[in-house]
Amino acid sequence: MSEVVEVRNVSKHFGDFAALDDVSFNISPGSIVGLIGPNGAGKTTTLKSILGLTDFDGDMRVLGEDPRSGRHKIMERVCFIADVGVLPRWLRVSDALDYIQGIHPRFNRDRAEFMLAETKIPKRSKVKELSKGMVTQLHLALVMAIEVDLLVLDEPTLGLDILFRKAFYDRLLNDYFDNQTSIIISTHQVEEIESLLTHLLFINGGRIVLDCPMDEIDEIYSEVLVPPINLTQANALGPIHSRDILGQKAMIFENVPREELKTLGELHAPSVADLFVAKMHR
Amino acid sequence: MNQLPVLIRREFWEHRNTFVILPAVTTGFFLLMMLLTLLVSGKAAGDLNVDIKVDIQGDQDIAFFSDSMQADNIYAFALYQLEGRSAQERARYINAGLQALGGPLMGILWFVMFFYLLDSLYDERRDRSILFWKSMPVSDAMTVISKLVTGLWLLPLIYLLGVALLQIAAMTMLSIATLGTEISMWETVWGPASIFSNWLQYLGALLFYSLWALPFFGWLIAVSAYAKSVPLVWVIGVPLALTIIERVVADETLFADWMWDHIVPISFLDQEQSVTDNIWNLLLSLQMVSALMVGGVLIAIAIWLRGKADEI
Repeated sequence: MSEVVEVRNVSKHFGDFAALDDVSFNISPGSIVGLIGPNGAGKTTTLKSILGLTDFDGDMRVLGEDPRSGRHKIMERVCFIADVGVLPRWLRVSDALDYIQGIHPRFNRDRAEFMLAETKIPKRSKVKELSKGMVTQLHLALVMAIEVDLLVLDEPTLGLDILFRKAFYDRLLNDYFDNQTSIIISTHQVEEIESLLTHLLFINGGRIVLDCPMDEIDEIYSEVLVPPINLTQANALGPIHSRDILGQKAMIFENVPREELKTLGELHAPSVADLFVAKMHR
Repeated sequence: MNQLPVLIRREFWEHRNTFVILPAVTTGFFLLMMLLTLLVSGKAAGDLNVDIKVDIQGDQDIAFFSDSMQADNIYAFALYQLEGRSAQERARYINAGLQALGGPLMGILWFVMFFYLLDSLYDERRDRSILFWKSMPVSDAMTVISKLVTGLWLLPLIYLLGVALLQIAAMTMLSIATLGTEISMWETVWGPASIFSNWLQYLGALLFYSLWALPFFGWLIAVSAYAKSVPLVWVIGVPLALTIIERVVADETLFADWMWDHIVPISFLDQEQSVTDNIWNLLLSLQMVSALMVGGVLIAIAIWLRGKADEI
């Protein structure tokens, strides 16, 4: 099966500033991709380009279509939840259901009603009367009732408390994900989604700095707790990052055979958060 | 899947206040005023005749019998005015009166259409809801068309309904005023009034204006899709600037005349002719063709801009 998203040499400039600088990557069917980067790294611009919500230079195919010209066709098979509050404030919950039912060929109204019934959202209320968490719940319920091939989430839980965030991702993984759908999530709260992901994309300064399946991460990257006596030896192997932990150095290595590292100290796979920090500092 | 019905419903959800509540309240207000003028002055009619004096302000067309006419209320006054005239004159006066009843609602309608179209593609960018609307499988062309259909055709229909109600109410009041008098309800009121053809004329005039002023409406929606802030300044500023530039640089008003002709309602009508004749003459004119073309281009620009549009 062909790729869900193919991005080739995509750039986007705002004046002199390059929001995206020659970005290329793929999203395969059934993968859950974490698009991770600091603020202003180009996460939202990347996602908006995929969705046809913004212009760009370069080549991109989303489900076989160019998002710049085929946005409305793509949106039959792609759903999107943005950071906060893109549901219009005047919209009534029941009207939102009517609306999507009226325009979306893949919307399952019963499913949306069922999911709303599990929340405390009153159907007669308007979006502006709901709490921030409820708006996200509403948007998720609407989106999860649409059968799509790709779900795009841009900081979906930003500004929500930890209970909502956990419930959101539980729901996403248990009720939605079925190996047919691909998901791309942007966030800078790496720890919370680490266990969900099948693929990592790090982005910084408009460039992809890491593009790697999760199960290959610990083959390529290793973290070693190096005691002071082995420091010179360890530095000679070229760690990509090191930090102090209780008098020892935690060093991350890229593509250095484990046999060589084992002799330096305690060896384990780096967490995504530590790897992220290491990659961002380079 | 025909998306247009639900897209139009969406417009009504968002603009319930100006699409439904405002015309309903305005119509209700005038109905109430009519009822009050009937009741209040009717109550006092026993001893105290209301003395209605009307200034004849040089308008030869409507010469009232003004010799301090004694009447119970304004409807009775109108009846006396009608009674003594020829059938032809009666018809003309009563129909002119019916048409005038639509004035306030039509005036409000113009402003509602103006601000509706001007904000239609601007508000969604400002409140970021464009990210939601554009995440739905609705094309930009469909979106723009749904807003034009709503604003240019459905909105006037609603306001016209209010006008029709007012006209029926006025006719009813006049009919009530004939009770207990010698005046024949049929010969003086219902006979000469051509209420249906009045509605048809209104309908025709509104439909005509929606096409004639297409450059104006196209301009509104294009600015709405383009402006990064205060679209009102763009919408008024550019035509004004063009008018001045043409005047200063070329000492001409050709373009400006054309432009303002298609913006200001009624200004394009030849006062010597009836509105209906005017419309028939202009409908197949070269100027109408130019208006449709310019309007079409502006609408296409609006659709193209909506495709590029992002939150602001």
